[in-house]
Amino acid sequence: VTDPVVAHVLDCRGLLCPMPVVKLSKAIKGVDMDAVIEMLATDPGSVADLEAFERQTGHRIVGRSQADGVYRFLVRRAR
Amino acid sequence: MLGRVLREQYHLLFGRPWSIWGAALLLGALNVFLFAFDRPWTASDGARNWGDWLFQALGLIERVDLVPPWLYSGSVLNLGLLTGALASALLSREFAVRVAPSGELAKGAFGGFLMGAGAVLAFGCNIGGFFSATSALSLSGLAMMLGLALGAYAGIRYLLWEVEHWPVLSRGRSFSAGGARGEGPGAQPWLGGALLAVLVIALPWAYGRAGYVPQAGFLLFGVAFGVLFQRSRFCLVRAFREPFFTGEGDHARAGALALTLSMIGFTILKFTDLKDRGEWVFPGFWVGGLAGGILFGLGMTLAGGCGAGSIWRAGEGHVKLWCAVALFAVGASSVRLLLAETGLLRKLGAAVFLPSAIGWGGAVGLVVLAMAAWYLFAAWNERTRVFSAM
Repeated sequence: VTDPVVAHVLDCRGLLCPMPVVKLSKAIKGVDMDAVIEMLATDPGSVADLEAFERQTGHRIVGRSQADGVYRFLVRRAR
Repeated sequence: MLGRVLREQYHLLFGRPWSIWGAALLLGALNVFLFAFDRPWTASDGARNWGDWLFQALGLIERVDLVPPWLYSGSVLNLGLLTGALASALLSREFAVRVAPSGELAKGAFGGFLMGAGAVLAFGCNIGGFFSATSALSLSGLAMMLGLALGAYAGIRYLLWEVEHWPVLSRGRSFSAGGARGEGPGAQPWLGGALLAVLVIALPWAYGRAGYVPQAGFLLFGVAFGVLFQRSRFCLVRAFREPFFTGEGDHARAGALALTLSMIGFTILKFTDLKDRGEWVFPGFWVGGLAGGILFGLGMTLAGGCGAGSIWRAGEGHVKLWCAVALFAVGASSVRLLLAETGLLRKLGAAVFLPSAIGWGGAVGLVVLAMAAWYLFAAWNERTRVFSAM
């Protein structure tokens, strides 16, 4: 499976809840419909934060991975 | 075979997050056990003890009755919370020293100071002044609850404004060190296991040998809180903030249920005269509770952790919360001194023990009603997103 084309990279490494989701909610308004944002975070809490964000906003997490303490999410704008 | 079973159980406990509902109910129950053992839980009096101790060491105050941090109940609870979360983060390979951009560190420190000041006005942090005080049927707890909601609302509106108009504050250099790397388990779980053994076996034994049996108990309670919070990430900041942000209501509903459970336990202990009825009933209705709640709610939203949340996340390695905890201690100690000097500490409101005003049934009913309202508000708002910012 190949990754979708990333329209914007949002670096939230070092940031703590709720800043990654605050930034993501702003960034997602700045990309086209169906475009994908790649978000990087280091807070272990960001996993649950992103899942809540997906549930509440409808934007989709289309990919996620974790390596060496960095959480990587691909979020597709859905509305 | 045994090795496989152990690996499975390790993965169950430290390979995936715990249910926030289970954790919230356990926290409510543990708070009752702690009250039965000695005193309810709060993070702020331990933090104030650290601040007092710092000021004494710097020669700014002179107090002969100051109990050292390794013996003071609230401080030992906090130290257990911090080190328990550290052990838990290591066991889960989630520990790393994470340095946020400098603007974030400043926000952590400022939020921490607001939390310290708010905790003085409300006679406790969100745990002691709200969760435990409401459990103890003190009306000041409900005043603080209202303040916390207002403060969290103001805080999240500010953060949303900040990323639009002052984005540089949360940008900049950040780095982390000491985190787990690669695919294998690495050294962290072994270090965490060793630390946990020291915390729950060696140190309680040493306290007991030295004649400090209660302190051994406080340490164990603190460690249990730390592990529970780190594994579940149950968070009272989220409970107050998220309805005004994403609209997510899980933590608010779990918090309402935990407080109801804790309140029932406290009520039994007081009703049966096993504990003094005036305990944890604070003269903070309504000015102190409300004003303290607003300051505290704003501070915890800026810092990204409440009284307990800042301490356990500091144990997980977030430097922003090291700043928050340090200024929480300084704020709690200095503002308390200021209010005591000026006599304002006695002008923060009335001490209202609800059963004295409206009877035991009325008191329990009122707290249940307030919690049900919080629960339903969170559930309704999660669906309708009327108050959410999304």
